[in-house]
Amino acid sequence: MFSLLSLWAQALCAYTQETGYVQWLLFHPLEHGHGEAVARTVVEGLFGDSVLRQVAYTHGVRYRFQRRGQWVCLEGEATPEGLFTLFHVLRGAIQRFPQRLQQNAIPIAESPPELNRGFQIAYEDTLPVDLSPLALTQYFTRYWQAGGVRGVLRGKIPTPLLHLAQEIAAGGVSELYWPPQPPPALSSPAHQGPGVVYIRWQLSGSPSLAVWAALWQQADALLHYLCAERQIACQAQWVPFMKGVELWIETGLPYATQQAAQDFLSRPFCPSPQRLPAFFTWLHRAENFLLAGWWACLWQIPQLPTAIPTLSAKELQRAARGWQLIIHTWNL
Amino acid sequence: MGTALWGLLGLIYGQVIELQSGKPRLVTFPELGSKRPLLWVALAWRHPPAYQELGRIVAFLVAQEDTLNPSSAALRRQLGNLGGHLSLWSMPEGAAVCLTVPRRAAVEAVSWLYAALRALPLQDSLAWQRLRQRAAKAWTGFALKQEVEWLLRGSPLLPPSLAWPQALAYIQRYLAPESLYVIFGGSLSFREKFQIGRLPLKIPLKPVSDSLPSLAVPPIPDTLIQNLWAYPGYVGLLVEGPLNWKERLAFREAFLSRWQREAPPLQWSLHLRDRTHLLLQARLDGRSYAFLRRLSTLTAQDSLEAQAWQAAFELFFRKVCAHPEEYPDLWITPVLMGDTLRLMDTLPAQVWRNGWPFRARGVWIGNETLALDTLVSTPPPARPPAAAVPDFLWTGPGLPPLGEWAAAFRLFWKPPCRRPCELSAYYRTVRERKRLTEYLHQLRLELIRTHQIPPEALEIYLRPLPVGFPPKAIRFRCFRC
Repeated sequence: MFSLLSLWAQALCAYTQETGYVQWLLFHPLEHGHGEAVARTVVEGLFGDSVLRQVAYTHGVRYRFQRRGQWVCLEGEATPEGLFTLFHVLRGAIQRFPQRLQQNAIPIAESPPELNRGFQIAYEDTLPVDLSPLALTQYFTRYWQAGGVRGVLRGKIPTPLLHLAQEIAAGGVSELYWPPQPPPALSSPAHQGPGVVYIRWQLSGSPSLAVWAALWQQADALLHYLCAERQIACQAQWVPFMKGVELWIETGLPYATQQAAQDFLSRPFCPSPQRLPAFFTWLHRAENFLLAGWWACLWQIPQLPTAIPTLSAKELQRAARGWQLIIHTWNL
Repeated sequence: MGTALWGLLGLIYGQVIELQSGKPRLVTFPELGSKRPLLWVALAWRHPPAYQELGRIVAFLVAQEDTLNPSSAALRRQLGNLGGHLSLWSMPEGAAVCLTVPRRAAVEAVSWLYAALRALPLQDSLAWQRLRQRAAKAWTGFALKQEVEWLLRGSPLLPPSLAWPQALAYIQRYLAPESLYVIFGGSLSFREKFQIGRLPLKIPLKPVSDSLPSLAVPPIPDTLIQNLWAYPGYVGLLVEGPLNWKERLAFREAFLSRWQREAPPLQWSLHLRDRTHLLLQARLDGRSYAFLRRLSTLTAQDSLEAQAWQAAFELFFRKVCAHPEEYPDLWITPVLMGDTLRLMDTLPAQVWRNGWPFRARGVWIGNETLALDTLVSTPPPARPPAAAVPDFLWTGPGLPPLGEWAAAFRLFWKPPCRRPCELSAYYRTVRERKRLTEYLHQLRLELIRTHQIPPEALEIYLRPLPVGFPPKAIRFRCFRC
């Protein structure tokens, strides 16, 4: 049977599952949502280390840099052996980084516009930032040397890999890991054109599996309503945080989508135990494999369920009373 | 009755097909195990390549996609309560409706699929009209992709007059229960098989032969099209791959690894197609376009690349086995084509060194901006081919080809090289040793004086004759520096 005991509530969460490979995530927040350009430059500089690139190539380690809301994520997948080698070499790359920075061997990274534009506008992170060596060094020291980076592993995790990952995601700078504020709303209402509808579920109590199951039901029903019934928006990104989750919905009809979302969410909501199998499937599907692990890590849920959770209707309804909703809209 | 086709050595995978009287065949992959939290189940059927689009619309029907129909809506609600995630698959080999369900719901998943089959309309209905319009709408906004698909197939995506009688004929011909396969991404217990065997499936479908017009699919021409809207470039290609399934996956990973490293595309999708081909569709910049045009063989250029390809292949293999629902091409196509799927998680290093030829033909869409693309104006420096390590065996008659050996040596030898090359002969009796030693010395002198091989780069060895080795053999062999 699967053993999903994890190491959690620290800087590294590991959810073991017999998949034969492992998906991994190193992440940290951006303070007030600013500084993506700095983060990207440092991460791409770090992973531009020639030894690291060569090891990633020869050991088949996939990785990519992505911004999700206020989080900076470096995620990927690999065999356990490949990831072990990569993390081993990453330690050396972290040590070499200051010297490479001094030798001007770190190029300024370019942000792919279509991927992160919504996040940059939402957090007003579009202004030029200081990319001087001093700024990069301060950033690098704060996150990568002082243990500001946290990690999630899900899949096949042998013990040596776990120990090595704990050195990378050492755990420190915990003052950064407070629930982030929602992005500042724009003063003018959205006009037609590409936009983002932002919906935030803010928990008032402690996160738990029951709260997660109930919240997921409402969010999934909302996405089904917007895509299948109203046919106005089908692309959405989940961004969990410590006391809730955000849904960033991309749409060409932001005003209509916002109205539809408000209509739907204002209806009485009654979570049902009959939807628990669908929640279980969602947790274990390939496309949500890493997201579910990340979400559980941020909510400090020690285990992902190995069987369909047995939660009563009453538990789910009680859990469903524990959040507030915030909806914003922006144009891109 | 069951037909077991499995391998018992190491990690060789094969499917087990079990026949049921009057019902679909059950196909399981035992080595994928039964302990995963989710189970992938596919209801699949064969059809000729020309009916790919019709198959897709019929798959919509089976999957109860028409939620305006009350009975379809009820079935979809039932599926939601089961926790099932639905996806559709339609390729020239066949079509399928796939479910991903919690592991314990294996029998319920098959029950749902049978209920969906029983709910198929057998008369013309609004459901058919709605789904046909929906299928046409699905290509809205993807006109270029549709055009490429059309050109690749040599025929329009939808037959010109797709009336209900043709759809009914398709359903009767290809969806008769005995023609169906229920494919599981794992193994089933005896109890589950017994319960599945007892599920009712009575559909008034009479197998009909040859009632559908045969649409011939002409061979795909290699077509170059100028199209301003295709900036920067777009290709839809059929790539010829190796014949056996395990090398096909290796070819796929080797190609993707080389492509990403040298000239990554902007977007790509790669699907396995029939027994030998892969369908590649990609948006490209100029450099990537030129890379595909130039690529003629796919061989690991050195041990580093071979290692990278092996690692990529291993990762892909593990993903394919962990999440079969993400790779229906691999699990459904061999079943429909009657092949035995045998896979291994590692391949001998020789596979990467031997490589494969790369032949791609199909639709290449570009415009003059590709030529102006600065990325392609200076082609990347060609990597010099790795010199082969000389290893020659001469069994006579006459003198060995010293000139040829010396040429191979000069191509290969790069000082400082620590290990000298060997010139070896083999003796059967002790009396032969003196004669052979003198002969080897003569050959060595000849190579040094006439062919300018450095003396320190060549040594003589005399060895006992191995069993089965030709008696008068002379061997010239070098080693990697």
